[in-house]
Amino acid sequence: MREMPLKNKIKVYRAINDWTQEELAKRVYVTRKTINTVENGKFIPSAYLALKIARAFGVTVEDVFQIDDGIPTDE
Amino acid sequence: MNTDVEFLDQQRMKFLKWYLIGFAIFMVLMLTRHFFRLGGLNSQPIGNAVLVGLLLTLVLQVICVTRSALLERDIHRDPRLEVALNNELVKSLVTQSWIAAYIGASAMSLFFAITWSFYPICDPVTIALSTIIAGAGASRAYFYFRYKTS
Repeated sequence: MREMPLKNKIKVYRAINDWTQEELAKRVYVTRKTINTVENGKFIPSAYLALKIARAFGVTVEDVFQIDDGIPTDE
Repeated sequence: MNTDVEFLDQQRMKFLKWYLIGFAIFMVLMLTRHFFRLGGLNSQPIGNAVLVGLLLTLVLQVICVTRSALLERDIHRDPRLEVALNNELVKSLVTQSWIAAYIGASAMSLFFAITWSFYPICDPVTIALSTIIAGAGASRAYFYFRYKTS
């Protein structure tokens, strides 16, 4: 399967908060499958969903999602 | 109405699963009936049994499609549910499933075209309906299995 150019740290933040995928899904109000597919990079979430996931963790979207297309950023 | 997204998602997939079961049996029985007609078996008890099976699977499909449509209507009415359940993954799979519908309909047309070389097929309504049903079923099957495995 083709790799998505969007990396995420959902698993890391879930581990920090000690949440299961199901728990995060309940907080974000989506299905567990949605969280699973986003976490595994099977599909790119909408901006709305990305914001909701980031808000659930209490961090910014950039903390959770990073573009990984090989182009260096300014940072 | 239950607004638990997990429950609604499972309900949606349950209706789809039973629709596909009905669809698969319906296709087999419809083709069986078609070939029975060529052999004059449709008026025999076995032909009647196939007809009953055909009607039962049709009823099953109608029930599943109706309940599925009612569920979708409820989801559309609630913006939160709409966002939660009809997300990008679902929309993307629905779009992709049109390709499966095209392939399914084409395969069924090809099947009848090949069969026509060996048996006389003088029922364009059956061919047209079979092609439409095969296309619809292929589309739903694609969505079901891709969603299940994603």
